[in-house]
Amino acid sequence: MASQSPQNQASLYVPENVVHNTKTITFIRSSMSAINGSAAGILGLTGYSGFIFYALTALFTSFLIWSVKTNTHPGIYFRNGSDVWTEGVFGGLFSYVLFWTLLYGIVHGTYKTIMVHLHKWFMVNF
Amino acid sequence: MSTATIGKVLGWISFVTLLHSTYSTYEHLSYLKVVEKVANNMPIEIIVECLVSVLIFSISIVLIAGPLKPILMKNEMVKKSIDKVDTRPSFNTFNHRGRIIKSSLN
Repeated sequence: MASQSPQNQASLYVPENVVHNTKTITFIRSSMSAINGSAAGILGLTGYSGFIFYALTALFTSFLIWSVKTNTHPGIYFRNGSDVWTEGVFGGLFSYVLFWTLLYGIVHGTYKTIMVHLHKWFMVNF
Repeated sequence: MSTATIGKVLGWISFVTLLHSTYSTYEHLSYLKVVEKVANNMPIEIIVECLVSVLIFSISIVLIAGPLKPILMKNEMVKKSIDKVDTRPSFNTFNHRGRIIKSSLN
């Protein structure tokens, strides 16, 4: 079949739309990683339980994208249908760890400078 | 109200509740320190508040992010007319008679 050659394969897709979809998925993934990292820090997760929490939340995010954004038909929006489950998972892990450690340090850490100031401000104003 | 506006409102609500759960956790930990108990379990209310705010935030993010676009050229070409396709830069011709006409006018 003629459509199997690489040249025809390239003209089979609209490049702008491929880029737009990848950008949208990356936006959702990085926002979700940040907020899930904050939640892990607040809950005081340490060690492997934090990474298990990330795996669960990343799976939940993929499910949301798959069910709401692609309407259970990822093949229409991605060259490879399984991209919706894997795209940006490892990139999101780094922002997850960043927010996880930040919020853990603020809430459960030894010095708690920010929270002490916040507590004083609440005591004075309310 | 558009879905993006609803998403933004939900996002702010979840952000505020997440901040509240942060502060509640801190308050609980400092209370435990005052009464000299060992922190083993957080109260279930704080954990539920934190997880619910994350859930609301995930819904809001999905609403804020715009719809995806279908990538198949086949479906995209259905919406375009033949005139639109023919005027694309690949079909520009520079080696035409205009050059000779312009030089003969001078």
